[in-house]
Amino acid sequence: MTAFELRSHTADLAVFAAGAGFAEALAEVARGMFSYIADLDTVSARGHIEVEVDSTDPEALVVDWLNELLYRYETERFLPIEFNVSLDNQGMGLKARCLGETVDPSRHRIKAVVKAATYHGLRIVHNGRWEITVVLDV
Amino acid sequence: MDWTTILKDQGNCRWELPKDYLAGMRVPGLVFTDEAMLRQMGDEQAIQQVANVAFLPGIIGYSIAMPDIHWGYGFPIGGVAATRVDGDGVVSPGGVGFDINCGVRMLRTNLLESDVRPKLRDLIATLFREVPTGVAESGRGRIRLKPDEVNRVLVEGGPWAVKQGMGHADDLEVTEEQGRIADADPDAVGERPKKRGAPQLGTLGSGNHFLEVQAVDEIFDLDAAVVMGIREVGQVTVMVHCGSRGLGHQVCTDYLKTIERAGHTYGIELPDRQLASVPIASDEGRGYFAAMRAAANFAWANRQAIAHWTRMSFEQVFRRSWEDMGIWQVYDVSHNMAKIEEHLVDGVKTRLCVHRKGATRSFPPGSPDIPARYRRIGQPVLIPGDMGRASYLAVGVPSAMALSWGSACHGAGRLESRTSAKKLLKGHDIKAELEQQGIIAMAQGWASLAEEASLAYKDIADVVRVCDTAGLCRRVARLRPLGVIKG
Repeated sequence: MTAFELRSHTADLAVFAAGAGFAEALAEVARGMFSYIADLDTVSARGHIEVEVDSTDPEALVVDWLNELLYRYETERFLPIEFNVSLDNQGMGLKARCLGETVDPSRHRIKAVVKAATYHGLRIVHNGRWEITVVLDV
Repeated sequence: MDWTTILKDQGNCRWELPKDYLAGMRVPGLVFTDEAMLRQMGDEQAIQQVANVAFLPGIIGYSIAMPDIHWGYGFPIGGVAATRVDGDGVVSPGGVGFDINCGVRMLRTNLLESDVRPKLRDLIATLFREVPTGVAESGRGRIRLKPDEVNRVLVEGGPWAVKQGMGHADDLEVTEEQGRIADADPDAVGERPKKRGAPQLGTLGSGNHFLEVQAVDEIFDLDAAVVMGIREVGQVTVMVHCGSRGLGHQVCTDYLKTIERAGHTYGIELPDRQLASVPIASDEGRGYFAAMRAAANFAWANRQAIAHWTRMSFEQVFRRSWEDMGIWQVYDVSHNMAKIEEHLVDGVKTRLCVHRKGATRSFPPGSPDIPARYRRIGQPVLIPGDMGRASYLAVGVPSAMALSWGSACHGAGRLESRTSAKKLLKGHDIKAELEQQGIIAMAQGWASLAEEASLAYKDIADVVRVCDTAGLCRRVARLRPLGVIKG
């Protein structure tokens, strides 16, 4: 089962993601974002990067996490597809090992640019499982 | 939601959103639209966002929305808000957007559609090759900046590109701020935006960004058109829509983080975190302004490089010099920017911070801020439509100063989301359908064409008609697409 979904937002794009815990939902929302950027089927998990984010609250963590991944993607050209996220700092920080590979235009199909993740319409719901909805500026 | 019962019709395509619509609004909203377009908005949250913007401390007059308004993040896209500089006014990075100084540049030629048609496919393919979209390469373009040279780009903007041989000094004469806005500080930008953005200089990007070859379809005001070098129906023009790429995106991301935290310490509470604001006079406010201006200069260097490669592409295809083909710039305008401007408030000259988030400056004849050659006709207003319909060339008018702080619309405005456009167009060969209309399109893939197809947008003709009727700008010419490249 895919635990993320790209949803409508008039100007931009919303990503909805769900997971058993907040960490899993954070991993899925990142996969959702990168599924818009690239055809993930063409990418394999042959390398990894480590990402660390510290935020002030869970909502900010979602936004900062996605924006950090965008920054790393555009500066290091590393396209991540799997995310092992562990939370720290009472759910306001995280460490993640992100598996994927460096972009190779001859093998990877890059579809679009995402400018940033935004706070607008950001929702974190916890009822049994964790759900995140976030709007991306594309 | 029937917005026509909530907003009050003031006549002349002006609709007021009463201040009591939402407790906390400091000023009413003013939406330039007509009944049909207002009904079209349905469940769109754009009007709600107009109300949210009215919460900004120091906002003057109205929270304003253009007829191409649609649901954005924080600010609506098509939103204009002015805050008082001397006093409690705030600056909001969300009122500028992630793509700082996203804007439009227009070039004219002395070629006619009949000259270009036989080589159109070759021309569009050449442009697609010569003007990097930067998408497939994860951002990378063809300009390799030496270390520290990015700082020069951030200070010098368009003139930096011209010095590198990309363009002509005359291009700068007809660029807003001459392509270089003062008080830009590369140190305020920080290392992350530079690292992300520097390799992307000279790229179009994706989304609604494009480069389009057009033909003049109809001229409404020949006198103003001729001043801008537009002489006849069928004349070929070029329009470029793009911004500051990853550099601007990262400046906005980084400052939003700082400002979101700082805003609370200044006691600023807003209904949407994406509206995060700080006083203009605060350290954070000054830092953002200096960084935003640097990103704006980057965007002007970006469009300058793209204009240069456009000329080179025409030279390759037609085997004539660009001067011989008369490829001169008409104008370059920003539509995502906050600027300190002097406006009349209750008859008194007042310094305002005018946020234009998806809105174009529309200054009237005689304004000292527009190029001397256009001072008689007003500032050129460049309004791109969708790739299947048309775009417009307009000029600023005096009434816009009082109505919208000298602003007009910036495009057609989205109607359908990206996901629903793709659903609606499933199975359609958009490229072939455009070709049947005589339009050659080249893009990264099917999805980027589907997301930007005509059905996803309001009809540009309606949007421009509302601006004209409301007194925000005056139509000069309509331009029809011949070919387009997209990220």
